[in-house]
Amino acid sequence: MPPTVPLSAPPINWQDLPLSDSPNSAKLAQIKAYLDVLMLALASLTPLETVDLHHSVQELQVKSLQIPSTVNAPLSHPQQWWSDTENISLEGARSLVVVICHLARRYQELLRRAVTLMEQMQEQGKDPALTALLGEYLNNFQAVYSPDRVAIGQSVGEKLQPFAFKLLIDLLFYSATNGHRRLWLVLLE
Amino acid sequence: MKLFAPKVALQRYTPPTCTLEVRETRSRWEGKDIHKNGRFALYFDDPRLPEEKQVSMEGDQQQLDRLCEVVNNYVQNFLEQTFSQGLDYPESPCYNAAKESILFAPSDSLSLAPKGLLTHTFCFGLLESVSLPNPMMELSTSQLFDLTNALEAYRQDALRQNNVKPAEKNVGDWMGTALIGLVAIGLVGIGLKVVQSNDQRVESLSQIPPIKSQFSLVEILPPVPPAPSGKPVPNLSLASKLSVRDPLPVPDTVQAMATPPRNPTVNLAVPPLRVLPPNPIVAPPQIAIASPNNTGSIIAIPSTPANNQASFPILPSNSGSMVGLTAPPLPSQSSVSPSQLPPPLSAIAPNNPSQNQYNLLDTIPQVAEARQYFQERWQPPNDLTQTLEYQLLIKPDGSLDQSIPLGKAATLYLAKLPLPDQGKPFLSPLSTPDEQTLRLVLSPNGRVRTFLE
Repeated sequence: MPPTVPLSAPPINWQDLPLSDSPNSAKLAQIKAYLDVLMLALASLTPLETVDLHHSVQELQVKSLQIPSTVNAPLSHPQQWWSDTENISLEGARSLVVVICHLARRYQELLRRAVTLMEQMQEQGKDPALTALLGEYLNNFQAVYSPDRVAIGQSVGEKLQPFAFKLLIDLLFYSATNGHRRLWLVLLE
Repeated sequence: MKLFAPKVALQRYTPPTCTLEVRETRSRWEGKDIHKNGRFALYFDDPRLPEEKQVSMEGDQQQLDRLCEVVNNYVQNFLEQTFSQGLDYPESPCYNAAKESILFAPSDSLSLAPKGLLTHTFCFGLLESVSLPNPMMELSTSQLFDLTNALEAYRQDALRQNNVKPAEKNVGDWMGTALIGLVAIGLVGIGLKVVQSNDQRVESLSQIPPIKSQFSLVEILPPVPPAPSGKPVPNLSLASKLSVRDPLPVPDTVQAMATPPRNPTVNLAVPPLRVLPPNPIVAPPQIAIASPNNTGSIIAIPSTPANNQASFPILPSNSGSMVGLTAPPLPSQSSVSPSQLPPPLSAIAPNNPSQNQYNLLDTIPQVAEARQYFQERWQPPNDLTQTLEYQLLIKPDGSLDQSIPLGKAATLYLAKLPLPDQGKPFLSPLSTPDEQTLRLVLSPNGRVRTFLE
């Protein structure tokens, strides 16, 4: 199966994510940063484009997420899913959680193949980046990831590769039927 | 008639790398579960392994619920680490030498521990498994993902069934329950007069207004027919007894069952020499446990017949080939004097009352010290019904660095745990420069166990 063919995904019941008291601005910034890198990681592995975001928002009837209307392009910058990157709300974050998990579920087969490849390469004692799928993913992620833009961590360096791989593993778990609840709990820990 | 008719339901969950089968036998009394007996089997399907190396395990309903909780909590923590630590968390998946290696598992534990990004050590000592002598295996991340999905699907089904069940009751059930009550009353021989009053009661029940198909749990819970004038209804006491039997207790370890209550009047002196095996030639081989970091002393335990081995089921008889378990040459009897016998000898003897001091798993003295510390201070709360497990990170100076509750119940009762002050040594200093992790297991019956992880 070509990696670009997404799986059909049943809709997520996004309303079962409770909105608790809004966290402070520092926590919101941390939430935003994590969601940004998750989306960038997913977009680096898959052929996601801005039009897919728009379709997901319409399909899920997510009203609080205002996707800026731009020309169709590969997803590579948080400005493509935040209309206002400075001020985000908890409800906006919840909407993005739903969208990310919805898209991850569509590409669950590809995420699984990526994780399985990592496991196989580890078993053989080889660098997973040598495989076509993961090598291209790393290149794409490295190109779009900027610690200034998505401020998780202090330095990139050699830590980027395992970090990028861990994001794929996380996305695989978030692609499960209860993945959106898991991600929401992670953010509100 | 539906009375006591057992109903067997089999559910099977089959993600790509494992199969979870849940078999549930329900004995129902007119639509109400009076006895529920659930068993499950979990098979890890790995086509790369030959059939004899395929791993499977099974257990009862409570163990399955515990497994769900453990796996769910572990995955959640595993995911949270990326969010909380960002770039500082991961290790390279290629060079993921385990930070900590668990050499053996306590026989009643159920836990997961990370071993790099892509491997997870799964300890299933709580479950029954014939496939592995040592209840541990390594799960890949994709296997963990499948296991999580199977357990989540089971959990959702269980929730759905619990929600559906109340709607199954109808007026007929109410009347049936009343009839059972009347039959029971008849059996105790109240007489014809009572039978007549039963008829009246049935009539009065038949006048209960129709019950809507959608009603709340609270509305349908009391299935109590109108009591006869001033007299208790015998059948209700019968149902109550059966319902008490329903939550079967989790089988505890063999050690716990075999340990007799300690008689304070009995002298705890070391047994005299004559109880030692008289003939060194026929003495069984020794089992030795090396401490995980190989810096601690090796504790040698003369292996005694089957009952003693059963108290330590994690060690196969030929443990020499296993990592961390070595079988040193058998010393002659003449080289072992009573004073040289290591303390664990008393721990594996079921009839020896001094076992609360030392244990086979006390690979470092701090394990016994920690157990003694909590034995002196911890009292099980009255409402505690399940075992609590904590990880205690011990600093080299013997002080507590961190206590990590494992599971929801452990988190709830964390505040009642008599933890020592952070930074204040409560154990003797470690012999290694690194921190050690102890597992603290607290049972509702007040039993305290500690193990080195």
